[in-house]
Parts: sequence; structure tokens; C-alpha cells
Amino acid sequence: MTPATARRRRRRRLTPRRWLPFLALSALVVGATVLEPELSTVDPAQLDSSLDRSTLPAVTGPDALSTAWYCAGGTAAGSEGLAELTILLANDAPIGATADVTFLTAEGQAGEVETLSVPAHGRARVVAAERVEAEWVGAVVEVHGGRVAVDREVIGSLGFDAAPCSTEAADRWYVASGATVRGSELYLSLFNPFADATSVDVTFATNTGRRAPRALRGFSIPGRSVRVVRVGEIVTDRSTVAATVRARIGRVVVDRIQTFDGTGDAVTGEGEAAAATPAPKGLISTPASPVRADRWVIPGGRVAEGVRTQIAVYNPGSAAAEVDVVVSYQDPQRYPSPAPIGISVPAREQVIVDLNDQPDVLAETDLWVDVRSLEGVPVVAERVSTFGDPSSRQGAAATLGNPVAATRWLVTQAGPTRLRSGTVQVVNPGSTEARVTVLTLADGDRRELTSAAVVVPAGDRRSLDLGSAARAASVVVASSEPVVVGSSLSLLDGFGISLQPAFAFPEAVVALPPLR
Amino acid sequence: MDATTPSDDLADPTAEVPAAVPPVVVVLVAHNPGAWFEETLASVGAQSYPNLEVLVIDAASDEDPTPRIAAILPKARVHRLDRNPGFGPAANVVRELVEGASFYAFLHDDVALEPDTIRSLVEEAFRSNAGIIGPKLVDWHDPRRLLQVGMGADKTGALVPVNEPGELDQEQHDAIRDVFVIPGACTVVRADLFAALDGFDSEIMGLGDDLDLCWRAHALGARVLIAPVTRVRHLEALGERVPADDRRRQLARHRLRTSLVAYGWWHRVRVLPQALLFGLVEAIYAVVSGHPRQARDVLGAWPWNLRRMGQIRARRKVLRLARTVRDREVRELQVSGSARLRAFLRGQIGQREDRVSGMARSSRDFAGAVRDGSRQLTVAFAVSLGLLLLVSSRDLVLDGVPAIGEFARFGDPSSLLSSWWSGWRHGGLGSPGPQPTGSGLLGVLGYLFLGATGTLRTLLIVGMVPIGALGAWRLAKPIGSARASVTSFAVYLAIPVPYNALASGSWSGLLVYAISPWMLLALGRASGAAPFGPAGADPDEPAARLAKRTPFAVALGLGLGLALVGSLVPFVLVIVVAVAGALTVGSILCFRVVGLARMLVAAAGASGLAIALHLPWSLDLVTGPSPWQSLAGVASSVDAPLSLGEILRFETGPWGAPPLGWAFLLAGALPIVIGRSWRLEWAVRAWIVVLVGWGALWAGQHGHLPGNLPAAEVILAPVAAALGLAAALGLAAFEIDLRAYRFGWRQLLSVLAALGVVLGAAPLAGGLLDGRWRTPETDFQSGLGGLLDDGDEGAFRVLWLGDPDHLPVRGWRYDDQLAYATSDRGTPSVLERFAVPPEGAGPLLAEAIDAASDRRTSRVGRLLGPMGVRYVIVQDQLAPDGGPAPTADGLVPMLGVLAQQLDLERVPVADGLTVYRNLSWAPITSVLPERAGDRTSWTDADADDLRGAVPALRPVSPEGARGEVPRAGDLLASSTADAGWKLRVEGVAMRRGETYGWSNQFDATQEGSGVLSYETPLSRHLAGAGQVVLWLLALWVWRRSRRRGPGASAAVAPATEGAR
Repeated sequence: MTPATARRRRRRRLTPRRWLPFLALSALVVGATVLEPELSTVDPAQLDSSLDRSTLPAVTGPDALSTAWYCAGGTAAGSEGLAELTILLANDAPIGATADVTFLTAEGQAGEVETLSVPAHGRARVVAAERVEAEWVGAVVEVHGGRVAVDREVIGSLGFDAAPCSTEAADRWYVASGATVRGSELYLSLFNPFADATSVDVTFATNTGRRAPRALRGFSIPGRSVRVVRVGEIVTDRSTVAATVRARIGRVVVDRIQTFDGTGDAVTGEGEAAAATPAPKGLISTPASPVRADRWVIPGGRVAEGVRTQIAVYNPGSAAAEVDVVVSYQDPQRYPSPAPIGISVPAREQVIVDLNDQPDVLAETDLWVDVRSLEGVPVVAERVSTFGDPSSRQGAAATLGNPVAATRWLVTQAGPTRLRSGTVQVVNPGSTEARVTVLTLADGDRRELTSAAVVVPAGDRRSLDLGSAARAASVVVASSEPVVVGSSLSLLDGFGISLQPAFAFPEAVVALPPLR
Repeated sequence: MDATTPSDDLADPTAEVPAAVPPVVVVLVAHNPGAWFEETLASVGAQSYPNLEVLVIDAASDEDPTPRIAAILPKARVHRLDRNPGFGPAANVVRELVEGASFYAFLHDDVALEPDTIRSLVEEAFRSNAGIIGPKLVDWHDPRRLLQVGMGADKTGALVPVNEPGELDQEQHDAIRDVFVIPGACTVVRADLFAALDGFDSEIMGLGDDLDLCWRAHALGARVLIAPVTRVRHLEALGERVPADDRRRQLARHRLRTSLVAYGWWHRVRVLPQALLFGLVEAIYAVVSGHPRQARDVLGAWPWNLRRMGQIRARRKVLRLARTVRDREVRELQVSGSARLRAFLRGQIGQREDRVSGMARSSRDFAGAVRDGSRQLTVAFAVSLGLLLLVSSRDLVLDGVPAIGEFARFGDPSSLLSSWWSGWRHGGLGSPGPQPTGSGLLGVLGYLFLGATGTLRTLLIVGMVPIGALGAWRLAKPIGSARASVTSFAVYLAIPVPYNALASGSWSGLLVYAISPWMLLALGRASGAAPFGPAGADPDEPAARLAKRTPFAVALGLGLGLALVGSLVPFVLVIVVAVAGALTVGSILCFRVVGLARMLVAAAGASGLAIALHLPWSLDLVTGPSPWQSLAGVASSVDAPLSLGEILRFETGPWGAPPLGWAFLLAGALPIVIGRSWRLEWAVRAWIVVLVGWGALWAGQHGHLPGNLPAAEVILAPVAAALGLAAALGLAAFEIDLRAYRFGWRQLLSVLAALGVVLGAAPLAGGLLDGRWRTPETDFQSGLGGLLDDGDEGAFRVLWLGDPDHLPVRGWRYDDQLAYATSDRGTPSVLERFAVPPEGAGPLLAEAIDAASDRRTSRVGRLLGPMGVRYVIVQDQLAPDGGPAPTADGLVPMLGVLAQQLDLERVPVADGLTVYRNLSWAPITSVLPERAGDRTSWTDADADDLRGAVPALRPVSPEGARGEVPRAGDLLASSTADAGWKLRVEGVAMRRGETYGWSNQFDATQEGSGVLSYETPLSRHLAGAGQVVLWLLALWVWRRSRRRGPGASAAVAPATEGAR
């Protein structure tokens, strides 16, 4: 073969119909080995944050056909009851709504379903004891139409409390604080509003370690019933108790009822700045938290003589959380924020930050608290406050922080009455000032309360002036920027304080603004 | 007919006959003898044996041969028969016509004797005391070539030639010796032995008479000798007069008959099961290699003999009375083991067994594919794989296929047919419209299977794998190399597509797997490009002699296939277009566009025909609200998208893991590197199909396509077929093209490619242990049966939610990850698997779930109540034992949503299934409770408590119910509102209206016996009848075109011939 022939043959062999597919095959191999790993990379930051905002209580949606609310943590025993339950419905819509209220006790449904009318821009209420008689009672409130929020009040010999009812059942609930020491009782109300039975496991984190009582493993809750666990009988004499309730199947609603009868020890505090407060006395009844989050905003707080404010941080997860508790004062230009209080919360444990013991925290100054988990480990944070002599207000209260912000909120009971005062706090955690307007709902009327309009600078908080609002009126707080709103009610005479988050309108909910 | 003595009529009175010479009668049996006959007669006439007479028995020749005989053998006696009874029975006539002969010399009419043949044989018979003796047979035209020098036989009667086929006669076999069988062309038999044997078996009318005669002679203690000192030329002209298939059939039947007659009971018990086993193996191989007729012939011998057991017993009795030698001693004369197995391994089966091998070269019998001894290993490899497939699927075949995924149960044929005939579709909430053709087809098949729809179902699922593999064999057959066919077969069988489809319940994947190689073959034939046609073939290549097929003929066959598969997998129409498109691109890339237009026309025609055969259903699909979804179904997006590596390894399920999963790529790449001519061109085309398939799947998996794709196996099946073709072309290139290269890396690559085929098939062995290809053993439906059966509480629907690949019903897309669907009247059946567009009120089901998901209701049960939904079932894995399947991301929130509903009660069932009972449901036909206010919108149900609804009527079919209407009131007929629904109570028509804005409601003004029915429009029935006519017409035309056309044999045989 001559060299020329060989070259020709070689050329013939390398025709495009040979190298084109060859090229494609090679590209494929390269793609499989090089490109593939990049494609399969997943950003860890996009993984589940464990925060399901939809489980937080919110006003019923504008196009909702029916929305169920679950109100537990109360009694229907009449005047002797520990925490007599009253359900309150507020409607922001210009048309009326109806609500079917079903009371459930430990034995199941009690009485007939009662249909309530909730007037436009108005409210309705039903007292459980007037319908049923039971040691513990829960209520399912099914709302048809309107823009309704459902609140529940409890009242007893130790005071009163008010808190939102839950709009969702969940398979995990977290109670961030509690106590079973002398003079205090902690109850967990486990409410199963569904037809099928469920069972739960309850575990506790106490100041002496974790507990998973055998009696509360696979604790059965029949369908459409409520069962209450008296924690002190199982976890005795613990100054701090946090709890996790996990449903094995199905879902439940969990409320916490805490009583302080005033016979306990005075709270002395720890550290150089420790300040003693009287033994607490009061009634707390709030829903547990169905969510964990890496950031919570607590819109109010105060340290004063006789007033003890604690921030309970509970870490139900399996990794330790490094948490900063950031205290900010109203008018931060005037009162610069103290350094963040850094704490480490071990897995499945709870840490209490007692603001009264913090030397940097100013007394007699309104503040708000931003709880930040620094490494993304979700936690649960709530404020626990006790009020005693010489404070003008008496009682105990607890309120969950808020893991979200919104531009519109509904407070079911805001206006002061002859017997109690009411305040609404607005915190602007963002970096832009927020213009806040207030609308009051009363007697079918919805009007703007111009006196309450306020501008909340970035990072500041304000208490709204609701002096000219109708008695106990519901208010809608609208803001130009996402804010966090809470409210408080306190009896002018006697024991009873309620601190509660407001109801966000679901379409207005956003994530908390990024840290400044 | 008078009996005569040889001395009276046949002997030449002038001849000098020594007194001691025994008389011999030549018995020459003739039937339509050809031009050679005179030479035969002359050779007989030239015999030197002094006491010889000739009797010619004419077996009803068309033309009387007497003048021809008289011209050469004037003294020969000619006896004509009225019909042709076959050689043996015709020869038996000698007993009636001749007396006093010492020997009979039985001759075929196509032999030529040497002058001393008879004398030598008779002398040797006397010398050796032989009962039967024969000469060596040599080729008529080339006497140097040996045909037969006696034969052995194994225990089943399979013949074992002593000499090699076509062996040169160098007197190497000239020793006189005992043999088991003397070939029947020229046999000298002692007359007394012949009488004792009762002659030839009168029922053996063709081949096998010699075996039978000799075997029985052994039983009587007679010696059977071959005397090669004399030779007889043999034309083997029988091959021209008897078809190859007939010869094979005769041999199989007569061999078995002889075994049944000649063996005593003990040997029958011992040997016959072995014979049956050998027959089964041969039949399986025949089917796998595309010769079903051979399988039929081999297995058909058994019923043929069973029908003649009376005769067999009678002959056995006769033999028993005369027997002097026990079976054990006769067995010692036979060869040990299986002669057919040994011959197969030596590549000799079929070559000499019928002694007409010269004419059998073109026959497509068992030996056709293995005649070349160097190919035996590859064929054995293919047979091993086939057996491996059978054994590895044993549990699925024996225990049945669980109702997982698309493997729905069929139900009875009548319900399938009536569903097709009806004009009311019951999917979702029902809607009027044409029915899927598939239900009608399955109904017809169900009747053909005598109602055994379970067997039919198993066949239509498991049977798809061998059909696909057979298609791969046939796809590569035109290449002209048995090794290439085996390679294609092995690669296609070993690619894990069908096993992953079985494991994931993907019937559509299996169906497309079955049709893909046939589709490629049809498109190749349509193109007419070599090797599928003459275009581009070298003049000396067999393909050059092939006739081009018309696109019409190809489109007809392909269209019918597509229509059959398309009844369940409409997407196959997209696939055929895509494959044709990819082949077009490949043709352009390799600069060979000849036949392209014909191929495209055939593809388009086939698709058009398939669409036409499914009218009006097909029209309904493509004009529906989401035609792509109707074609492609709702693909799963639950699992993580397949990685590119997994796609390339076909690892869509538990099969195909690396490193062996990569092996096929190596095998497929070979022709691209070393191929030339059409081997390179078709390799490029095949690889473009492969690349397009992989690319489409990858793009679909990663969301780069506008629409979803069906199950991955559906896309990968044609890819696998193309890869199998590429591998086969690689083998052909190895055989043909590699010679043109000097020794180097190409040779090494070829070895690696061959290793790729073998190693790639290795994981198949894993199926041996499992026996079911990791298909789950159980399904959910058995456990749900009791829950979902209609009770006294009225008929209801089940709403299914979940990954569409897991659901037992074909659903519609709910969101990115989930599908929804309904079933009614018990567990889902195949009726719920056919594609129907989401029409009627069905989408309201999704809206109801939407309302719950958006937190707009906490009473979704009420919304679903008027829809008759009693159970909401969320399925998050394929089967109870489906392993820890990852729960769909979308399922978790959906389960949360359902758990929030106050009127859903969870029913504990198996893991992987979440069942909620709707506490607010109303039976599909029920009298609604009184209610203040309207029921004008479907959302009105949210505040409507239907627990007081009273069941009325009972559904008797999807389009009708009858029974009691318990009280007057608003009777809900929970189906999409349509004027075709009629209710009559006590014969009185009730007024129909709408309720909830979508459903039928009748004002039942009285109670009593009622009938609810949907009146199918006449136009629908006419369309159905027209569809039947169209199918029958298409089948008839296709059948005719196959008979008249160039025919598969014409297209294939020369190529096969060329392979030798």
C-alpha cells in the first residue's frame, strides 16, 4: 500500500458520519461524569426550616368556605371552675358570618351544635358553662364566611387569661415554660377534635433533666374528646418545665394551663443584679406552640419592682442552639439596646433568661425582645411575666413570641373597659419606619381611630393609644411595613393579666425582616 | 389383486439360476418419479444377482409410470395404488403380492444401485446372519460424498448419523458393522423377519419408517448391519416433494410413536419424561429463535400420538408376543444421552436426521440458526438467557402478578365489553364521550381466553418480555449473522428496562418494550435500506436480492401494532414519530438519505392508522382539555430525578446498578468505531435514537421540557432496542469489517465489546434467586377488598391521591407531584387505567382538595359528599412490601391537610396507604335530606350535612342503577349532569335537574321500584360498530398483504443464507 493510498483510506475512515456520533457519545460521557455532580448538588439552606407559618392562628381567609378553630384549656364547671371558658369571635368582614360551636369533653360531644351569628364588623361570644358542664372542655368552632378570629378567655379564682384559639391541629406541640413547684400547678390539655382516636407521647425538659414518663407514652385520646394531664403528679416540684407533645398518629391541639396560687416561694433571682419578687399568683392558659423557629419577636416586656419578666427558650430539637436574646427599648435613640444575652440551649432542654437578673436591662422601661437562634437551630421562645406587689397590676401571664410579621393584624379585645385596661403594642423589626393606622370594629361599624395612628421607626415599638376606642372594641392594625403586634389586658382591680399575640391576616403575613 | 410367486411371473425363464440362490424381490416404491427414474430402473435391471425379481409399487402417481418401467424393465411387475399411503404402507403390499421370497430389497425411487449391490448385500446377510442390511448411501451427483453409512439412535429415537455431513468417502466407513438403523433408501430385509415384524408400521406414512422397522427388528433379536462394501447413490428427491415443516413434523411424531410401541412399560416411564423435557427445551428455543412452527411440530407430536393410543397399544401387544430381546439389551445398542442435545451442541441437528439435508438447507427448523458450528456457543448463550428469563420469572408466572401500579386486574370480559359499548365514562365523576378501545379489546381477548382474564393478564404483562426479546432477534436477523441476532437478543433481554418496569408496576413500559424492536424493524424495512432492503447493499450481499416493501404494507402492520399498544399507552404514537425523526437525523448525519421518505411515510401512515383504529376515542383525547396529559399520562415527580448516569445505565429501578450497567454502552459503541457501509450507517441511526431518548428523558426528569413524559421505562424501551441493534451491528462489523484493519486497538475494543455483552447480561442471574424480578409480592387491593366492596350502605366512589406511578388508577395531575383519580364499585380494575380526558365535573374533585389545601375548608368531606366519595386514599408506595419508598414531598402536606379535616376519619390499614373514611358522604344514588336553601353551587356542600341521605337504587353498571327508591324527595344521581340520564319510578319518568351545580338530581315524586339509566346516543353505538368494522378490515387487509407481499421469508431467507 502506498502512503497516498493509506492516507486516502484514513481519510475515508474519518468521515463525519463516524466522528459526529462519536463526538456526541464522548460529550455524553463527559456530561455524566462532570456535569452530573453539579446538578445533584442541593443547597442545604433550602431544606426544611421546620416553620410552618400556616399553623399559626390567623384570621380566616377571604375566600374560606369554612374554618375550624380549636379552643381548649378551659373548664365548664361554673363558678368553681379553675379556668372557665368563654369563646369570643370577632368579624372584620362587612357581611355577617355564622359559626357552629361544638363543645367536647372527656366523654365526647356535649350538647348540640350551636350556631352563632357573628355580625359584620362585630363580635359574638359564648360561655361554655352556659352550654355544658364539664371539668374540662374544648370547643370546635366552625366559621362559615366573614373574616373572623376566634379568641378564648378563661377566668377563675386565680385570675383570667385570654389567647387565640388554634386554627390547626398538629402532630407536635411545644410548651416552652411551666412550673410544678409548691404553689403552682401545670396542666396540659390534649384536645382531639377529630373522629378517630389518637395517642401521644409527652416528654418534659426540667431544671433537673429530661423526663419521658411511662404514663404519658402512647397516651390515648379518644376521638372528639379532651384529656387533661396534671403534670405535677408526674413531674413533681420542678421550677421549670418545658414539654413536647408528639402525636403518634393523627393530630391534636395542646393548651397549657398554669396556675400560681401565691403560696409558693418568692422569686429571688440569681446573680449580682438579682431582684426578688413576690410569690407569683395568677392564671395562665395559652395554646402551646405547634412550630419551632430560629427567630421570635416578643413585642412587649418590662422589668419593674414586683414585676418579673422571663424569656423561656426551649430547644426541642436534637442539636444544641446558640441563642441571642436581644432586648430593645422603646425609643432606641434614647435608650440604646444592651448587649445581646447569649445563651446556649442544649438539645431537648430549656433555658430561662430572667430579665430581672440582667444588670444591663433598664427597669421601668418598655422593651421588646428579639430571640435569635444563631445557627439556624429552631427553638420555641415565650415571655413569662408575673406581677405582684408593689405593681399596680397583679397576676401572671405568658405569651409566645411571634415568628412572623404582617402588615395587618386583628386584636379581638383591645379597647379598655371599666374593669380592665387594654393596650396594643406594635414592634417594627424592620429597617424602614412603619406607618400604622388603626381601625376599630364595634357594633357593625368599622372606622379609623385616628388618635391611634402612629409611626413606628425602624427597630422601635409603640403602644397604641386606644383611649377613644369603644369599650372592649376589636381593632385592626394596618401598617405600611411588616410589624409584630401583641396586646395585653389587665384587670384594674384584682388578679388577672393577659398577654397575647394578635391575629395576622393570612394574606398579609411575611417572614420577619432580616436582622438589622 | 392376486398373489404370485416370483418364479411364475417375474423370473427370467432363460436365466440360469443356481438352486442354492435364494429368491430376492426388489420392491421399488415410486411416487411421481422424476427424470432420474430411468436411471434408477436401469440400475435395478443391471443387478448381477441371479434370482431377482422386481416389483414396482406406484403410490398413486399423477402419471402412470408403467410405460417408463416397461421400457427398461419389461419383466418387472407394476402394481398401482389408488392413493399414496407413504413408503412403508406401500411397501407392505409386497406381502400380499409375493410369496416365496427370501429377501425383500426395499428401494426408494431415487436411488441408483451398483450392479452387485443386491448380491453383495444378500451374501453378507447370509454371512453375518443379518435380518436387515443396507449399503452405504452416497450423493447422487457426487458419489465421493457420503450421505449415510447407517445410523445410531438415542433412547428417544433421535437419529445419530455415523458419518459427518458431506464427508468425503475415503472408505473410512467401509467396515461391516452393526448399526441401529439402516436408512430406508435401500434396505434388504429377510422376508421371514419382515413377516414377523408385520411389515412397516402402516401408520407411519413418511419419515421414520426405517427407525421403527429396525428398532422392532432389534427387539426380535435380528441383526441390523451396514455393508459399505457396496454403495448406492441417493438423490434425496423427497425433499422436493415433501415440505420441510412436514418432514420435521413427521419425524417428531413417528419417533415418539416408535418409542411408545417399542419400549416396555418400565422404559416408557423412564424415557418418555426425558423425551418430553427435550421436546420442551427445543420448543422454547424454537419460539425464542422465531420459529413457532417448529415448536408446534415438536410439541404437537404428543397429542398426535395420544390420539392414537389404541393403535399403539395394539402394535405394542403384537411386538410383545414376538419379542425375544429385552429393552435393556436394545438400549445397549443405542447411543447414550440425548442425541439431539449432542447434535445441537455439535450443530448437526436437522442436518442429516431426515436424510434429505440437501433439500433442507433453506428450511427454518431448529438447526437453521445453528448450522454453522462456530455459532453454537452464541446460540447456546441465547438459549441460556431465554431459560434464565423463564426461571427468573417463575413466581410471576406461577403466583400471578400483583395489582400494583398499572398492573390492574381485568374484571370479567362482559363488563369490559359493555363498558366499551357504553357512551358514559365513569372516570372522575363521569362524563359522556367515546370509550377507550382498550376495554373492548381486552373484553374480546377475555372471551378468547374463556374468561380466564387472570391468565390473560399474566400473559399480557410477563409475556411482553419475551415478545420484546424475540423482536430484538428479528430486528437483527436481516443483518445476516446469527451472532448478531443473538447479540441483539441478549443485549435487549439483559438491559434492565423490563425488569424495572415489572418492579415498578409499569405496564406501559413493558408494552413499549415489547413493540420497540418490531417498530424499528418495520421502519427499517420501510426505508428499504440495507440490510432491511436492497438499497445501499453491495451486489454480492444477500440484502441486494431483497424485495422492497411498500410503505403501505409496513404501515399496515406497524399501525396495527401501535393501535394495540396505544390502547393502553397512547404515547407510543409520539414514540414512533420521535424514533422516525431520530432515524431521519441519523440518516442525514451519515449522508445516506435513501428510503427516508418511505420510512417517514410509513411512520406517519402507521400513526394515522392507529389513530383511525381508535376513533372516536383518539379524537377525544387530542381535542380534550389537556391532550398531552392524555397521551403522556401524569408522570411521577416524587422520586428524585434520575441522574444522567442512571439514565445511561437504564437504572430506573432496582436493576441496572453499576459497574455492569455500563457494559452495554461498550458493546453498542463498537460499530461506530469499526463499522463500515450499512453497518456504520445503521449504527449511527440507532445511536441517534439512543441519544434522543436519553436526552429527552434527562430533560424531562430535570424539568426542561414543557410537558411531562410518561414513565422512564416507556422512553427507555426504544432506546434499549436501538442499543441492541447497535450491538448487533457491532458484531456484524466485527465479523466483516474488522478484517480490513490491521491488528491494533480496534481488535482490543472488539473483545471488550463482546465482554460488555456478556457482563451486561450477568445481572440477569440475580433474577434467579428472586424469581419475580423484585416485583412486590403483595398489593394493597387484597387488603382493601373488604373495605371497598359495596355494602348495604349504597354505592360510593374512592378518591385516590398520590404519586401517579404508585396509584392503581390512571389519574389526572393535581399538582407538581400528585395525581388524583377515582374508582368506584370496589377495588380498581383495568377500566380505570385507560386514558380519558379530565372532562365533566371531575375537576371539582381537585378543587375540593384544593380548598382543603388552601385552608379554605375544614370539611372537605362535605364537599366530597355529594360526589359519592366515601374513602379518600393516599398511597405513598407501590405495594405493602414495596420497601421504604421515599414519601413524596407533596404527600406530606397533603396528609397534613387531610388530617385537619373534621369529617374525615382515618381507617387503619397497611403501611404505605392512608385511608380516610368520609363521614359526610352520600351514596352515589340517594335521596337527599331536606335542606333550607339552595344547592346551586358545589361549594354549598360545605355547609350541607348529607349524613341523612338515604341510599336508593343500586348501580348495576357504570351507566345504570335499579332498585328501590325508599321515599320521595330529591334523588341525587352523583354523576356529571347530562340529559341522557333518565329515572323512572314505577314506570313513571321523573323530572331531571341539576344540583350542586354539576350533578344530576331527580324530583322523585313517589317511592317504589326505579330504574336509573344513561341512554347512550345512537351515534355512539354507530361509532362503536364502525370501529369494529374498521379493525376487522384492517386485520383482513394486513393478513392479505402478508400473504401476497414479498413475505417475511423472502426478506429474511436470503440474508440467512448469506450468513452461511
